[in-house]
Amino acid sequence: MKKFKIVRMVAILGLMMTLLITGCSNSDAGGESTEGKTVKVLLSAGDVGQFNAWKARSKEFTERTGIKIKFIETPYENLLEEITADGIAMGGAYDLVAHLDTMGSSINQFLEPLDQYVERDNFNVDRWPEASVDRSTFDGKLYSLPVRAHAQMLFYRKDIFEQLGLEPPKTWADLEAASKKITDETDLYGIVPYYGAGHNGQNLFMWTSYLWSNGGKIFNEDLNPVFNSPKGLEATQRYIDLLVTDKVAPPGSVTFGEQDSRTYFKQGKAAMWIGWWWVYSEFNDSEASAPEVVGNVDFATVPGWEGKGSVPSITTFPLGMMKGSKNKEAAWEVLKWLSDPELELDIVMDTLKGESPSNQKSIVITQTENLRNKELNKLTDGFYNVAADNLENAKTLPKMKEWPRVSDIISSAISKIATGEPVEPTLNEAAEQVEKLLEESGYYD
Amino acid sequence: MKKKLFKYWLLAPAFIFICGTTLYPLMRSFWISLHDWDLKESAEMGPFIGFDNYIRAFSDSQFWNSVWITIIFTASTVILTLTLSIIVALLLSKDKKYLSYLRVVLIIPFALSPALVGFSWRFMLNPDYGLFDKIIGFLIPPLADVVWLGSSTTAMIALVSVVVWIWLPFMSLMFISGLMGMPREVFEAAQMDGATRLQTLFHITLPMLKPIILIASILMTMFTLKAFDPIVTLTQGGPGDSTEVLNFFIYKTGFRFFDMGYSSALGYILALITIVFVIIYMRRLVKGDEWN
Repeated sequence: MKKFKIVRMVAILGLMMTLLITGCSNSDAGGESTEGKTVKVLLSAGDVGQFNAWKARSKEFTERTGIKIKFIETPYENLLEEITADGIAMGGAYDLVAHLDTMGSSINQFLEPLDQYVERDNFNVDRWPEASVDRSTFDGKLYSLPVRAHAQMLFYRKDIFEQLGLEPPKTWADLEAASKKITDETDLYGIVPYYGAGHNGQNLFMWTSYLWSNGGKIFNEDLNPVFNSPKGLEATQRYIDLLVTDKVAPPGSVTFGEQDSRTYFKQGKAAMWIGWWWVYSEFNDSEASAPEVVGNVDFATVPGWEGKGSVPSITTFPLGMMKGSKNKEAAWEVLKWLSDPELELDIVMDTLKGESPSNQKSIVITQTENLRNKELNKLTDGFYNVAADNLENAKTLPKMKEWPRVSDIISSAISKIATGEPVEPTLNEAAEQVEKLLEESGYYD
Repeated sequence: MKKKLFKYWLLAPAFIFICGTTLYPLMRSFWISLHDWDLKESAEMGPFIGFDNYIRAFSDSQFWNSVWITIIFTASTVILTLTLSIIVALLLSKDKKYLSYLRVVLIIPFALSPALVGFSWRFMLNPDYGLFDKIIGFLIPPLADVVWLGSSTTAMIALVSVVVWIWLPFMSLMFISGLMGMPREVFEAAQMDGATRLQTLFHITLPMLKPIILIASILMTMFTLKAFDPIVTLTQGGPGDSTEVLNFFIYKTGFRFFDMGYSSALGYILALITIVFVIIYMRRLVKGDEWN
């Protein structure tokens, strides 16, 4: 607490100083002027193509509007702490903050509702699929704009698949058969999942695509945990069997986080990977991936359960405006610019046409109009049409304040099962823990 | 009179500094532990709930799991570190020139940042490209396929080994200085009386080392209870929650789940456990004078 107090003191002192200094010079321009203001945008670090493309294109925005943008990066693991600390202190260290959608329920108290800006400027929120906007809405108020959203995809090595005469898998059975063939006939493992505990529940991403495609659910309508239903058990067993029974996944995957497994794929040691689509650019970047991987990675829809279809998940990574921001008008201008359909399309078009520098490659499209863009779909064999369907119909993780804790319990159970613990008792125990937690938090009153 | 006041004036800055950095946070966190404060709900502290947070801990299975893991982790780390460091000290405490160089080299692991050590070991234990994993597989072929961080038992073994690896040099140096400070006459007398080396070790060296063993075990227990960086970097508490010590559980509750009231209470419980250990050791240490 002491730290926050000090931060607050420093922030207040800083604010007083800036008021003293800038108060006079700005008085003639009026409070509305955004000219010359600097907007600080907090992003997650990791050489993200879309963010790099924003940075590169921000010069043009600054020339046009006079608003400078300072992009600040922090490791993903620290993002929530950074936002919370600045939020409590109302310090204004950041004007705009990028965050994972599931963080929204706990940080919306620090974010400025955007409804008044949207109304005033007639800003069209319907440019995004309803599901994405819903991830940014809490108690009926819009707290952020989903300028970055990910659909889950299956990535595979074209060269290996061609060599073995395989087709991209459409069902989990296809995936299992392909994995087995690849593991048996090449030096590569079929697929590299990530079962490790910790890492903010990353081992749930693939698990949910198994669970949901089998018709299972995490919660029922009354928020009772039902992931240990027969369907849930079956799905979990199948997810874990890649490692435990079929042995088509590397033994190390039991400890892998998403990043570890991505690295493994980039090193060319596995032929398939399931995860968020933004990494596509990384897989094909000669500085990030092994030579035999670059140019040989293709994507497909996440496989489905036989006869039940595929239910990929989506996640959004929206930008919100801090309540403590001192430059709200300028920050709103930046938000509007980053939501510009043309900017989004331009970045991806450049990537697909091979015109962007390797660190600016991005295939992230969030807006419906762009997803349905004819040229874009022509260039990608209809990939974005599929993605649009996914983004519109996909399931998302629950939007509840207790989610970090719930996800931690389930994630821990999955990790245990991957080490060889039996599926049913472990999931039952986790379900009991989740139920107890939600009961104590008053969800069933 | 003036002189008397003057010394208090000189003490004042240090006193204020300690109050600000130690006393205030201590009292404040205790105050927070008596409140229901969920940072996810509000940045303002919630209602006063007395000792409910403490009571909650005792009915929380995750809490008991982490207590149990803390006991296993601490006991094995302390016992292993002390035993090994006494052995190392016995080997290195001769008055030879080359040994003094060895003693300098010995301190290197201790000079590394524990977080860095954790990451490095995570890398070295990786089943696909880990150096250590390969060495073990080469020396003991049956262990070649073990994913060290992949099961509850082996992850705990790996974690304990890494923490022992970090603290072994420091503890060894403590024992070396203790051994080198021992009067030579006693050993000469023992030799004259025909005592074997083992007899000398168990009847003379170890009893004379007792005060140092006690201090070392107090310190080691406290260091181990406080261990945090190796756990975050090496296992993240996993697989499952099999290496989730109390310290890591508190961190998770506070900074991932933002349950400030509960995590403050847990922090105080850990502090109490530590204090109990310290009191037991201190009392024995004071009595320890009799052993000399």
